[in-house]
Amino acid sequence: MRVSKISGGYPGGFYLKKISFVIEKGKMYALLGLNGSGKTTILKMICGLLKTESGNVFVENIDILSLTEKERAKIISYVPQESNIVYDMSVLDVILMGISPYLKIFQSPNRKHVEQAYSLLKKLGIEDLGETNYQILSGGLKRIVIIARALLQNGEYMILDEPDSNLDLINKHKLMKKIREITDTYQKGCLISMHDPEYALNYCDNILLLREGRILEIDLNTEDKISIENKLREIYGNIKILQYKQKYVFYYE
Amino acid sequence: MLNSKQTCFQNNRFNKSRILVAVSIMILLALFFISLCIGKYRLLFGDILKILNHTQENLMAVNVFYTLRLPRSIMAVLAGFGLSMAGSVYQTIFKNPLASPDIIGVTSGANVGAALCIVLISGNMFIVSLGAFLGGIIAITFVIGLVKLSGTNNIQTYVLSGIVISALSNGIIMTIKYFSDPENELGAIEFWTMGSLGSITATKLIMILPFLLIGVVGILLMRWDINLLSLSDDEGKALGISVERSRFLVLLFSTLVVASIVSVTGLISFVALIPPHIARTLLQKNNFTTILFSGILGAILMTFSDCLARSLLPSELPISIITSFIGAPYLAFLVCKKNLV
Repeated sequence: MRVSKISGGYPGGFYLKKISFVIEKGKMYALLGLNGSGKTTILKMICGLLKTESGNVFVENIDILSLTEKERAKIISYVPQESNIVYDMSVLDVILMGISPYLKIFQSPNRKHVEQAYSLLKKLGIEDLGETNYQILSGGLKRIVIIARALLQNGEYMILDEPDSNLDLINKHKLMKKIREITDTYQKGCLISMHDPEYALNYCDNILLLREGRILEIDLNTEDKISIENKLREIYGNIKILQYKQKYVFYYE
Repeated sequence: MLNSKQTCFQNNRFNKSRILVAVSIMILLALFFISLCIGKYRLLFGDILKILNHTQENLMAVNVFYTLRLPRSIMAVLAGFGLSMAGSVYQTIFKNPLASPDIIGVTSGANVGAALCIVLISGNMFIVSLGAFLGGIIAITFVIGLVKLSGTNNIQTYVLSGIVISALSNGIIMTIKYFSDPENELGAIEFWTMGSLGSITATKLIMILPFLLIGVVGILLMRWDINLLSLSDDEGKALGISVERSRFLVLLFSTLVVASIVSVTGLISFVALIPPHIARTLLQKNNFTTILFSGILGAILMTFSDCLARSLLPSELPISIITSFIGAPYLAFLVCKKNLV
């Protein structure tokens, strides 16, 4: 996916100018930035939820912003921070929503779709949750269910908006591991906005740093510690990256 | 992760919902037969069997059955089903457990239409029905127009536009009442707002049936979109539905259902509000089954209330009196349980 010079924002609010970057399949990209730097705005523009003023998002030379919602939903799955499910609903019903882009007009999911959803639940190790009420799940499981919905949607790219917010330490790690696993197994291109640089350093392939409307990219697979540290200092100020058992520890002075 | 005991419980719940639906259909059928018997002109179960076998000799009984009793009982089932189904749809797509057809001004529009016809044309029930139907449709047209005009197509705009239209309708109704003849017209207007199935005839039933069917079939066809409209707009769009178009169609179909019903029955309180709650509480889920189950429960509530309305007093009671006295305590119960969703 090639995001090419997209500009846009909210009237009267902040505005992002000519943002460009590339998302490759099978890789995890962390979008980092301070509060109000425009992370969600970028994600929403890519998913077509917020109109861009100019620029394109190309997937295989097709500008996906010019597609209908239905066509775009087959290419990008969007995982919101928290799903707005108001009433009681079974986990199966929540996941089945992911099949929507493939339904014909007036159609609803059939037995085959239900089987697909169950096999997905099995792959994620939560097959016994099918008939459970989504509302009684823990925060961590709720996110996994929404990610399962995105997997059923089967887009080549997954866009996740702060999936780790409001989760405890253990659940954060579990969730990030799961996303890493999904990225590798299904060869998805994942773009994840997040707050904690430590998780980005330890789980992602690339970091996109958003500062004052500009993107600064870090390739974690090729760049060394010093170079990563210098780039991160641009937005976090006086920080240090320590290494312990091949993991990074983020230290703020 | 849940343990196997809980999973077993979940599967039981799945079967439980089928049993609940089956039992409720049986209760409805029983009530339907009882409602065929009750009324000023009493028909015994044997009489009805004779009428259906064409062996009934009492022509009066045959006439009462086919022109009044049967259409009225069918209308009670249809009205309860339609209003509760629409209520459940409104509560789902407005993501608000207190939403009902009043929320976007359909019923107040129908009220204006009926009142205008009573005062300006005549109290003829056909004309009043037509006026009420048009009033409801015009109200929703205004609401949708206002939403388009505002340029922000989200659920809050619909609610706000509904409030605007309801307020405007109230103003118009007060004006009509003020200038109406207190001897006849004022009474007729008031009576209409209390709802009654007393004036239902076979002709009226047939008259509204096409509109009601279009609405119900439309809702059936849109069943999956209704599910997705219960999410936020962004989520719905990301899942590939055209949120604005789907919402417009669903609102149109449910308005058709509500307007065609209230045009012949007058306003009926609580039937669109309470059964969807009970359905969600019993099934512990909210999908299209819940919407259909709400409809069945609504039909039960309506048939039961109509039976009481025709049998409690020597003269017939408006049906909203009964439904209010059933609905308000239930709502109070919900408040105490803090279980509004």
